[in-house]
Amino acid sequence: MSAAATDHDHALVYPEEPLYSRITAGKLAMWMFLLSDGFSFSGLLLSYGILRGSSKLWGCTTEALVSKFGCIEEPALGINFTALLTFLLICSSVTMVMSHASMVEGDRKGALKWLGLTVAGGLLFLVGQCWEYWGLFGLFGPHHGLIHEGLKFGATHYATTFYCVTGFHGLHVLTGVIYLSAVWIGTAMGKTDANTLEVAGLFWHFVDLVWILVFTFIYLIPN
Amino acid sequence: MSEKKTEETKTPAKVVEADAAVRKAAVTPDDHGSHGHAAAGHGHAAAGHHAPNRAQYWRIFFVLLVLTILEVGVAYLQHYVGKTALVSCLVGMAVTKAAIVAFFYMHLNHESKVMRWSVAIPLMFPALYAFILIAEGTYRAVWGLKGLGL
Repeated sequence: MSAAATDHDHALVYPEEPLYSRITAGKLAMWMFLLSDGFSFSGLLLSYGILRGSSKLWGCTTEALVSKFGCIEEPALGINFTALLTFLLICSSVTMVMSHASMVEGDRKGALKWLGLTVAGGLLFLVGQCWEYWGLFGLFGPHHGLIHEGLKFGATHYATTFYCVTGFHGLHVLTGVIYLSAVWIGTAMGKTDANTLEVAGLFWHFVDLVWILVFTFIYLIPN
Repeated sequence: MSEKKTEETKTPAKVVEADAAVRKAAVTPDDHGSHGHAAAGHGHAAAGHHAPNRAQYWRIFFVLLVLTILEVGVAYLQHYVGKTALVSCLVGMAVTKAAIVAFFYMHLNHESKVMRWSVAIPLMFPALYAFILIAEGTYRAVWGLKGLGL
């Protein structure tokens, strides 16, 4: 029996590894997954860049372009609303890291509070993305959604790449919300530790990190 | 420096023992009630290597917020600023924000140098490819296809 095992039944003490210090197996596995996921996003963003860079027309978004190219008009992507979504994800990142901090300090209630706020931030982001796509049946104002306004998947590279990249990211947010909800339940039941929260946090921060790049490349860089 | 040397001379068994002692001291009465997971599951924090820095987390949050506001502001300058400068500025700010999230929120600043490079090096290749694409795209936009001899 090691000293750690006699100290506490559940306390796993990771030995100091010369190259990777005291990183836990779960954390290392999550980093490996995130790297592979990062390559998936890289592939999507790079193909987006190649298609956009080689296209003469990227988004038939003005009447001038319609008359010049004879294309069907598509909506321009809104910056202000997605900036708000970016703000939401940044907020949820800070609440995630606060949740982990509370757990490290032994404050389980605090960890639950911050983690709950993180999940709420993720849910709001998803509602925002649904509103952007579908307009949510006019529930939140006159906006009817990009699909209704003519941004159809498969119609142009502009539309297809937009839905592929933001949709893939949205699926990650959904996965994150489900994952963090499961961790919240586990934490409420006293079955998680700070390492569990840190590993879950890695996934959530990655989702935020990717959105930072998606926001810039898809929404901010002008034609 | 001397602290580091002392760490290095410890045998693995001694390190584990010392760590277990620190963990025991760090476990609060509340932690005992929940099997002490909070402290026990986080060796670095208990050993004083990875204590959460809440003030720093909030500072990082404000830096990210300011950079986001700047990004949106810069995006609206598209009719007044050259495209090369605009794209460079936007990409630069996005990469800075992404690096800040990875370094501080994903705790890469607390990981070993090897771990940090293990994450950074593989991601440098798509980043390099993206840089080449953006540079080529900007070149085409500024000088047209004739500039490439096509």
